[in-house]
Amino acid sequence: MIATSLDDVKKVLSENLSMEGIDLASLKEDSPLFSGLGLDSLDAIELVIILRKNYDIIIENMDEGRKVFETLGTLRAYIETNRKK
Amino acid sequence: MSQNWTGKSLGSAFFQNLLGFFIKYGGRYMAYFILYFVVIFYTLLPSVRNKASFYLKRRFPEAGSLKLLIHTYKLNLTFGKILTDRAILGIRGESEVISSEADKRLCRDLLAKGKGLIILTAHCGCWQAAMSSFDFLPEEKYVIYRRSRHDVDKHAHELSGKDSPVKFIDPAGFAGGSIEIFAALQKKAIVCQMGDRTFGDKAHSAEADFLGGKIGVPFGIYRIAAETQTPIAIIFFPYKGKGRIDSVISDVFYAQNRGGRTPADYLKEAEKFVQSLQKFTLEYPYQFFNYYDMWK
Repeated sequence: MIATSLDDVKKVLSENLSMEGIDLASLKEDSPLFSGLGLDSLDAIELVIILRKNYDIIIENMDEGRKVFETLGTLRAYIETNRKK
Repeated sequence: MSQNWTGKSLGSAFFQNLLGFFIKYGGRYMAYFILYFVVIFYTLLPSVRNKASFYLKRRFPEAGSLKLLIHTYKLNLTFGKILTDRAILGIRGESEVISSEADKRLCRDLLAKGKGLIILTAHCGCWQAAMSSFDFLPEEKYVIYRRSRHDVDKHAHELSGKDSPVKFIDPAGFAGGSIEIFAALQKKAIVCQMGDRTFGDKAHSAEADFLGGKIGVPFGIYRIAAETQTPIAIIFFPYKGKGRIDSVISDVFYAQNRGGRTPADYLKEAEKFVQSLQKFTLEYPYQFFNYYDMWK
């Protein structure tokens, strides 16, 4: 397990996704990823790529992905538990 | 250029069932015989002529009203025969894919690279039956496909009562199906996408020239291909009559990873696809089945 803070995750997302108009400071662990941040299917592609590139994580199935991408907090926790770099 | 197709079947459930009856009890030629009259009925419907005209007026710009009517009949008849053949595949199990050995070898070689394979095709020829019959490749097959609730056309496996030979990924599902696409490619599977249908808004499509106007085509699949280094094969499945389906590999390429995520970053790939599609429509003018205004 490699400790991963919410700020680390927010930084990576803001660098790779189009999050104009979103106040990063206001985002909390329970902020929903898709409805809350206004992410769409193209962003979803980027999210999967971010996990692969930055953390060497591959999500194997849809059910797992649905849970991981629920909120910023679930994403952070998943990264923390599964990252290889 | 937002999504303006509906997925609604051109024919009604009644005519689908009627054809199913004649296929079951009369065979292919009985069904074809009935089809000639059914297609006359549909071709005379103004709404059907209008839907067909978006493509036909661009494919045959010189055609007058009468010629356009004949073109519409031929287009609808080919579509009807393809749907009939698909039903025959499901009900009687009769279909033949006549891919060349060179094309089969090329697909196997691409898969041997260990990155899976993305097949890009379009709503032309026998795209549905072809994917069901594409069994010379043993790898798992996934089709990115959204079924409209207005679509009454039955797939071959639904008519046969067997399990589908392919798995479906819903592009309108969670995260646009992207997790499943990545997971499938990770397993070195085959992922098939309709390259001519966009989902969502304009930001999700790249514009390319097709038959004298711009159409929007999805580019997310090129982003995935570039990232995973998966080869892309543009394959069309022209109808050759009486249950025979050809497969034509129009182009094979790797999407370039230009680092971006905008339509401009994947314009070259989108143009390759649309050029292949245009070439197909020039060779097979009555096998292109997008009954809506793609150029709007």
